[in-house]
Amino acid sequence: MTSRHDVVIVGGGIVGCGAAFHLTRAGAKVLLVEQGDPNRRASGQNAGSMHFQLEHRLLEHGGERSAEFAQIIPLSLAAMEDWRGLEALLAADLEVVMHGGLMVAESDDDVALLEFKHAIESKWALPTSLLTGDEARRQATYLGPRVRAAGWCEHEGHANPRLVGPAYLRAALEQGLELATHTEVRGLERRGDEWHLRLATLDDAGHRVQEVTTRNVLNAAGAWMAEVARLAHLHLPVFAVPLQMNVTARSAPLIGHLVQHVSRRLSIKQVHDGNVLIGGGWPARFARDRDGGVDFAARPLPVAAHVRGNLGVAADVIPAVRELSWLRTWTGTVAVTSDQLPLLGEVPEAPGFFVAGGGSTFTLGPTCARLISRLILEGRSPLPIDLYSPARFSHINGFMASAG
Amino acid sequence: MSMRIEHNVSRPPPVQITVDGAEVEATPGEMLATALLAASRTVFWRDASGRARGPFCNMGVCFDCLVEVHAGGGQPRRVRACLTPVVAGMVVTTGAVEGP
Amino acid sequence: MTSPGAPAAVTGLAIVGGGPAGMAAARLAVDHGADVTVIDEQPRVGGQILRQPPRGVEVTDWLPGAVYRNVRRTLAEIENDPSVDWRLRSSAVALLPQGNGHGVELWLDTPEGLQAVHAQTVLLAPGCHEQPLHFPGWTLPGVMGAGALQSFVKSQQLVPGRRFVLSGSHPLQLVVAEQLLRAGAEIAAVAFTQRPWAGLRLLATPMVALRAHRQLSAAAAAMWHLRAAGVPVLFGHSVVRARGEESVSAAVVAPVDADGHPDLRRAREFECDRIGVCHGFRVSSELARQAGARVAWSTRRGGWLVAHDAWYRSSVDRLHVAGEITGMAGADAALEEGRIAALGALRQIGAIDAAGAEALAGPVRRRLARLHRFADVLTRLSAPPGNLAAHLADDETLLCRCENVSVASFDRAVDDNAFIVTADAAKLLTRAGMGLCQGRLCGEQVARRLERRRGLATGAAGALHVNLPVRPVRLGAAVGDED
Repeated sequence: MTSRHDVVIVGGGIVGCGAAFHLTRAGAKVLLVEQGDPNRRASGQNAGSMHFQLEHRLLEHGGERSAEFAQIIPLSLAAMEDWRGLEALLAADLEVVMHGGLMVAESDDDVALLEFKHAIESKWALPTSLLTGDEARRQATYLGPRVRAAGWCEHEGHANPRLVGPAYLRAALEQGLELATHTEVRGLERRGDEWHLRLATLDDAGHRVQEVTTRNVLNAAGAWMAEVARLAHLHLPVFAVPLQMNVTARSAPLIGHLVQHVSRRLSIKQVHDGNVLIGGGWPARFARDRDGGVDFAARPLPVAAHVRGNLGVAADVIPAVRELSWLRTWTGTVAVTSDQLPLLGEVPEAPGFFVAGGGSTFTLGPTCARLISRLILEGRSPLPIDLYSPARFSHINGFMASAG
Repeated sequence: MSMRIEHNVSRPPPVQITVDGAEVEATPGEMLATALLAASRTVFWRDASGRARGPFCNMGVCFDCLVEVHAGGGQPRRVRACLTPVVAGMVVTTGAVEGP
Repeated sequence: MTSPGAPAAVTGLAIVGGGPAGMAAARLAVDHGADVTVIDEQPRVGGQILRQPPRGVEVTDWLPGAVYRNVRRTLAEIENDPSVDWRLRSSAVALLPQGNGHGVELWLDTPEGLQAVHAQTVLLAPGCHEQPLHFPGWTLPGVMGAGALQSFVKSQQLVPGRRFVLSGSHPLQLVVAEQLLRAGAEIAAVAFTQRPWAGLRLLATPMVALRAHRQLSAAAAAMWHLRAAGVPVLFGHSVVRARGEESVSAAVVAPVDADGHPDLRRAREFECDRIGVCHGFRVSSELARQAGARVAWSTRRGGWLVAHDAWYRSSVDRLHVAGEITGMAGADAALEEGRIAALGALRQIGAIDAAGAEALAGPVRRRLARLHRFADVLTRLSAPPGNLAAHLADDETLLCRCENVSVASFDRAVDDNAFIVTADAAKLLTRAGMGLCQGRLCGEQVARRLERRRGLATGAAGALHVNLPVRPVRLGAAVGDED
């Protein structure tokens, strides 16, 4: 027996759960397939930053590339609005705070980079300003004397990533979403104008296999996006990147903003419960299996030197964190595209096959979920998203037999 | 009420420490938790709801014997009283309320 | 590591835990010429069973009982050996196998800051901690583990209160009550959750085993002494509530049935200022789990036990295990396990050949098999009723005492998010298990409560993932302090 759906979403992270919410709200018949528990991978494990200033990873490769990366700004502007309305939309406390963010500079080179960044942002109408070190310290008294200047964006902040995905999912379930957890997609094939998916659910009794058909597939599988696409004979240049993050024990209010660093890897904030989260894109490494091979599915392993490195930058910028307790370092695997811009749209070679994700997916998640849902339902997005379309990688799918 | 066992026990001369502003005698090398219990302190800290907390495991696991030790001019440091040996002149605060 | 980039100290065998298993292993390894480093959180070695008085405090006739005879001999043989690199007051907070035969890096949180030790091979013998009981009032100052009370007496030479109630299912509480009584305390009552017939089952065990089992005979002698002193020893009872505003003023004790359900109509109050709970132990396998070692659940034998082979090698290369983390079996068994694990480690680093190790291991294995049989008797006797905690906790009882997560708020979150089926996911959603004790005191209850509400089998919710550091570290110590 097969069941028919309007949309099958692959991936129960923030984008998949968010799209499930928007699609079911519009009355679509939707099945969400998640290989483990919902929101348990990068969507629930990231540090919850809402960062809109051009971040370190987009600036570190120099002028020309940075200008290309600025194409992400229109999405960022939309994301500010989405985040402001999200708690009301879902009628849930998501610990959203948008009290502004600082991107700090320590050296002459840093200050020059900050000025360069500010010029690009101004061109794209991202509301940021430049502060001197003293101005920054007046704004954020916890910043240490090494801070020479800072970029300021009043819309930045953070939310609790442990709550956002589940809130979307609860609302979607109330709206009639069908959910299949601990379920893997084993086959994905287009016949006529329908997609046929072969699903394997792992439970106590072993594998239960079922087939479902759908008009549309949304690949929101994060770090597993490329793998899912390959089942449909498609290549997506999305790469799994293992990262590590750190958290301190709860403490009295200390840090009132999102703080990032323009040239060193740092993102630091204090969350609602008082913990300080310290990350910034420090790599972990993939686990090894019993034979010494790489195990991409297992939880990545933390890199010792990167724990020290990350905590060290934090202590340089905000000296008071030295007295906090380093409680935990954890790892997760995020998805990054080859050009570091998100993937958002329909794959031209495979009508009805949509993709969403691939970079800054927490910050941009609610927006990606909303826009891709409109594209699926109405055939067009309310915001131009051609810049992020998978069409930019059509050249590598010229070799693939995706048309089926 | 707690009391140090005297029978069959010989201790080095006591030292002075300061607990919540009061001078308290303690044995050098004994754990701070011991000195505090012997000085009739049972509330070591308070959680954010104001609930009193004190030692539970006495072996470094539970983190419910946290007290503040003041050293130098800096911020007080929260330590596990069950794993912190008494040193002469220590300045300790109990009953601090946890933030936020 | 205090100066970033400085090379780690190098050793042959790093032993985590200076209790019976660690001490016996250190003695044997040093005798075979190995470079040995022993890491322990306490200022002196001996482990929890031999929590020593502070240096400078002299106790005449310290711990005279037969239970302590073997471990005290081992302590005397190793404590002052200068060939061991002693790292005391140090917590091993991370264990990083380097792969491809490159040994293991350990991170130690020491009074001098975070330090790294690079070991050819590692033996984990970290022991266990007490299993708490989540009952109304269990976070009130004055409620402690029975073992916590005992170590104040043994080590600190302190009677840590005036009048005590002990409650639990483990015979250790008889020994603790008697030690407190001898030291001058009042014992208001000792309550066992087991029905009186559990005692009959004890008598039905072969008398040979009973006589040879030092722990049980010590408990029996303690019971006799307590009763002679007029202390009520109740069976089929449990503490069900701790009363008091700022600290304990009374214990409410009620009959409990075989499932742990209390009969509150027949409850009575005992005035006291301390309550000791004694429901046995949970093994400290966090470091092994952080390093990726395979574990298996055993409610009776101590929780997430580290799987091992006949030489006490774990599933992780160059990671050996001994003592309670392989299954609760007591100090004498830990000594023997430490010896076998040390032989396994010596084979690993080439300090002994296979035939030599086999010859030395033979008699140890025979003694160990006997001790394991006795341990089995004890763990069967001391198992608490399965659902005691579930029946005792009320809505306001804190499930997670670090993060102040109440039972009611945990249950509500679990009910509102029906897609949550693992303990890890429940932790992410509720914060239970995220605090300073890193889930040691609540992790098991988080899993059991989730399973009960979902109708899942025990263990189906899985273990909380263990991240590094396995104990919190002051951040300034981790990055290298300027002070």
